[in-house]
Amino acid sequence: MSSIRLRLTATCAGLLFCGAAGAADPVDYCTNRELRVKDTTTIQLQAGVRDQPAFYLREDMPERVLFFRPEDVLALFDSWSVNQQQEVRATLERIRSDLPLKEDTDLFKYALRDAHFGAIVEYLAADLLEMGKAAVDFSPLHMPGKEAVQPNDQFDPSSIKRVYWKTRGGDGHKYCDPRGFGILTIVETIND
Amino acid sequence: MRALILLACLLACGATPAQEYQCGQAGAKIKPAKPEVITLNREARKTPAFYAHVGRYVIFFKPEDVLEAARARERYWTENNFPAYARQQAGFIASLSADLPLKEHADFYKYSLRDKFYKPAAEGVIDLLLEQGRASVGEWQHFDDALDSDRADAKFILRASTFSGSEETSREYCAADGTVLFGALYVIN
Repeated sequence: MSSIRLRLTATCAGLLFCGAAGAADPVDYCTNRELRVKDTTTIQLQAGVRDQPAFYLREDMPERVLFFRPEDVLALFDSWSVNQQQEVRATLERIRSDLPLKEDTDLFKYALRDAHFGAIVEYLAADLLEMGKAAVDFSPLHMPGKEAVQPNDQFDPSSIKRVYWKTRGGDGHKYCDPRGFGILTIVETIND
Repeated sequence: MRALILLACLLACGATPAQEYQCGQAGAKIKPAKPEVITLNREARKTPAFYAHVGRYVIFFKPEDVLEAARARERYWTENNFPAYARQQAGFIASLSADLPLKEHADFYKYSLRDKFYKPAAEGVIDLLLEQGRASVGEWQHFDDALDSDRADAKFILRASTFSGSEETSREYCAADGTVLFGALYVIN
């Protein structure tokens, strides 16, 4: 059985990743058994990620929003961009020119001009989760006003679990909250 | 009182039946009616627009269309005697207006991070504009794809509704390949 390694940081081709991602098709949550296995790790999330305007990545079903400090996104993407093609460098410069952010900003917006970035943005998010440099907001229901009421923030995790998954189609990692709710699923290998 | 959460116009605006297309969740208990084709005006992406990212698709809306639809929703709430909703809608419109003119494409869901009402408000606008075909829909991987321009900027989308008797109970908008772009439900007030 041959396989394709997808986790190539900034070198993976956008169309390959997106066309193939469905082939592995992992389930988007973590089971109790997966949470208990010995190679599942716990990652403590850093506090204060949302103290200043942050980049976010919105995921649906269930809705959750991942937030990242702009400087963390920039530093990681910069490290990935060394010796990369022109469009990657251009996106990096676009991100840099948007800083400091005036408001929480969708990280996906850079994919509208650079499909390659769209293909790697979830890997970028995964690496930031891996380092605990993220905040996770489940079903954000925030109220306006000075005395902000955030009725469901009690469900937002301060730590997350990283679970290895494998199917006949491939393997990768899932990031879940300690109860198993899915945060992000990454495909790392696709088997032919 | 049963009210459609999202819509002013129940008659298809320029829609025609599409025999060969599928739209709707596979395996749904209630089967949707045959999907109708909604021709898109494909104008929205030409200048800075609001966008909604849905998996591999991105839906773009012209800011002036968004504002007009949001105001239509405010009128709907006012005329149907929902003053609290009308006030919240006015707040949503004020937030939108403060961001105009857009300098670049902007995430339409960003408002939902500010106020719990703004997500349904945004979705009401999306529903109205999709129904009227006032949107551009494309697969972001293909935005620079000169060989397959329909994937970069679709000519049409599909709409399929489910009914209870003669009443519409839900609707979904799909891309030509059946991928669900957006869904709307009735609510009972």
